[in-house]
Amino acid sequence: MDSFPKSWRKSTKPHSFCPGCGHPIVLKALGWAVEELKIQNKTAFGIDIGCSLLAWDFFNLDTIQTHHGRTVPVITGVKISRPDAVAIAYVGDGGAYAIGSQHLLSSLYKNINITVIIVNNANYGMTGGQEAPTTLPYQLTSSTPKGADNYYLDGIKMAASIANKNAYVARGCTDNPVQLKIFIRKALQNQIQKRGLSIVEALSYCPTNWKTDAKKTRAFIENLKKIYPIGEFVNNNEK
Amino acid sequence: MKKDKKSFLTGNEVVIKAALAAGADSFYGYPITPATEIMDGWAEVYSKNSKLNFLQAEDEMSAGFLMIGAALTGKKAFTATTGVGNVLMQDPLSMAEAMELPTVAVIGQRGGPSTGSVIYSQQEVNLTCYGGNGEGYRVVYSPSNLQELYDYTIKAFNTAWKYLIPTFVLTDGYLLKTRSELNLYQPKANVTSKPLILKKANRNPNKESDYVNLVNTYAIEEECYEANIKLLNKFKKISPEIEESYSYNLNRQTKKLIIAHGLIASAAEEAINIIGKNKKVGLFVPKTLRPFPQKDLLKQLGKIKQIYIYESAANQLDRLVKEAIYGSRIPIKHFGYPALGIEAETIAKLI
Amino acid sequence: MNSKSKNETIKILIAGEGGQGVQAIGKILSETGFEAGLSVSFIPNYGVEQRGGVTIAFIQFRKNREIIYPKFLEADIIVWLSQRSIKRTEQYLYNKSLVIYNSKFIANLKNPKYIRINFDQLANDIGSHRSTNMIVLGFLLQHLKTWIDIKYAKKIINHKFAKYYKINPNLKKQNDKALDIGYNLKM
Repeated sequence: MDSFPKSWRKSTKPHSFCPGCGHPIVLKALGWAVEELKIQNKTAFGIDIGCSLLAWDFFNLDTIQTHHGRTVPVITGVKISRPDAVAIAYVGDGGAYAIGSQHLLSSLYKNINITVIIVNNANYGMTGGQEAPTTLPYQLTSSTPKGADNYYLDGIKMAASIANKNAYVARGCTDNPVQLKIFIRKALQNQIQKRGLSIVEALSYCPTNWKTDAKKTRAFIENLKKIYPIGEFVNNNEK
Repeated sequence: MKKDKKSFLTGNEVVIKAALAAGADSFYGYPITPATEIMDGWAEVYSKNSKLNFLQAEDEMSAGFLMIGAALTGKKAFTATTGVGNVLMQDPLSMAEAMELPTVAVIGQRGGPSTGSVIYSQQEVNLTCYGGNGEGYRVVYSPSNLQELYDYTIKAFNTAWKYLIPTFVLTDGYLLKTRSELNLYQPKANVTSKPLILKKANRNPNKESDYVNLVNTYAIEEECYEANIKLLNKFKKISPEIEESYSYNLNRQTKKLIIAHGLIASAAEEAINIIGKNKKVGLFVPKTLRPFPQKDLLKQLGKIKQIYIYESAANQLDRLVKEAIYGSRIPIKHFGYPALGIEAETIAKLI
Repeated sequence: MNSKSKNETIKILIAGEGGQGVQAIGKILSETGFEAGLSVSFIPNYGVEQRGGVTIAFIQFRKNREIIYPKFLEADIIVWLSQRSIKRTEQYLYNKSLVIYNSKFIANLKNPKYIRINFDQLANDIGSHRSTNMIVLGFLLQHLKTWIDIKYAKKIINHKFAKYYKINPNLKKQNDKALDIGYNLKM
């Protein structure tokens, strides 16, 4: 058995993500799901601004990097034009829940047949670790040096409350890549079966901006899991 | 007795007919006066033709990015907006400019800035030609009547797809609402569209070059510079093929030159008829505001003693003209009426 | 009606409140002119309100040559249907303007040259208030005899209202009658 999925582009490895970053784990899970479903050649892989953009040459997949928060509408435009394609929007928590939130909302209540993968590390990583919609209270970030505000958004809870019953909404974590792969695979299958929107949020490590060592990174994510529970929240697909 | 082969339509209806004649099959938009009827008109056609695509977006940014997604797959997609919607649209249009995407946008100018009026203006010249955080590598057509609205909307699609460049039809609330007669011809041939992604189904999973990885980001300054120079050189190269202008009553005896675009050019032409064609007043009309037909204009300046610029803006056409004729010593009288129409009689009186 | 440019162009302005049929009349009149082989331009002007507000129709007819600009400064014929519309469109008056106004909603303007008609009353008299527009249209066509033969108006109206006439044939009778009343009205 291979160590990496077929779509793994060798010439761009080692990748540019930080040591300990969760993105490569999520991407690998995605790569395996794509392989298992044999959809490499019909996948359109959209990426956002932010750390997700470092995945632009990660795969042998047709990839389009968009403006911040706009990956969902671009990939929707692709999907409407090419319903046979598998359209994936790979975004961060900022792109999903702040600048792109209205697009996510629209795709939820319209039940658009795309897959959105949200890599949630509870901060704006690429710009140096500012407060994001999912940053927990009191967290020290570069835009909240005295501690993050007393509000946060559970985007999956919001999504699950609006999602169509034929959608698929789940949250996994980079500490369980196998489960993550299963969720992503189910999400993609939801799209292939034309049931509508699928969202998988992946709680993800960011030791660089959390300013944590390996042990504290694991502890940080355990804390995130308490507020943002892991599981499948909309999953009515009998198959 | 009806005129031979002529139809009696509003500008909004003309845009739809032209788009379909050009082979457009996708529209994405958001309601905003006075461009909304274009979206409603498309929705009507879409409801009867399952081969077309349509989605009313949640805002203009989404509309523009949906259009980009469609264009990436080789669909002839367009949008229509104005005013603050045009402002929001600059987000996706910047991406289209950087990545040389064949987008088509019909802009129905209304009074600005901000919410302004819902009716008419020529105040989105700056925004449409140079909006976004780029250098204005775009093509902007400015039709002066309903027939030209039809002609240039068709042309916009063909220009966009031939040169892979964001293309605009810059019209206004008056022209879109005006009902008049025109000839709805079917163009002999349209440029074929080609996808930029998902080009072929059979690919070698291990072969990098079988896949397309598109970005608009550069980590290194020099790479960004190179990308800019590439766009600049392309624009320089294609400009002569795209620039267009129109002259009326211009010859070597002409002493006074009116410069106007869009609907105001029509008023100016009528003004010259009112004054009398023998009065040595001529008209120069840039049909493309971008690229501006500089060579054509410079050719006409020979014996001109006075230039008059008329526009329904403070000084947007004015700026384009002055840039084009930099160094010329011909005095310029500028008449700017932001958000207001200018009738032929008014122009005639002011000359 | 003579226009400044040697019988070549005629400029008509109709103004009233939203809902009085200004745009409906404008549409039928302009399509009629097109049907009659004239060059036509018609542009509406509204406020932002969805209902009500002053609404204006600018119509131009021209023989033998295209109309180049949809708006104009001086109207050869002005029709005022509401009090508010007067202030809004006074600027379009000139010494040769033919002014027609609806006395139902507009107080006596005391200018003997202006034509004062209670269109709504005339419509009520034939038991059809809904046909008020047709009377206005008919009266306009009376003053456009050298431009448009009324047969074209009847053709356009029949075409536009075909669906409604099927359901309610009485409506056709009323509209036809109203149009003729306006067309033959001596003031």
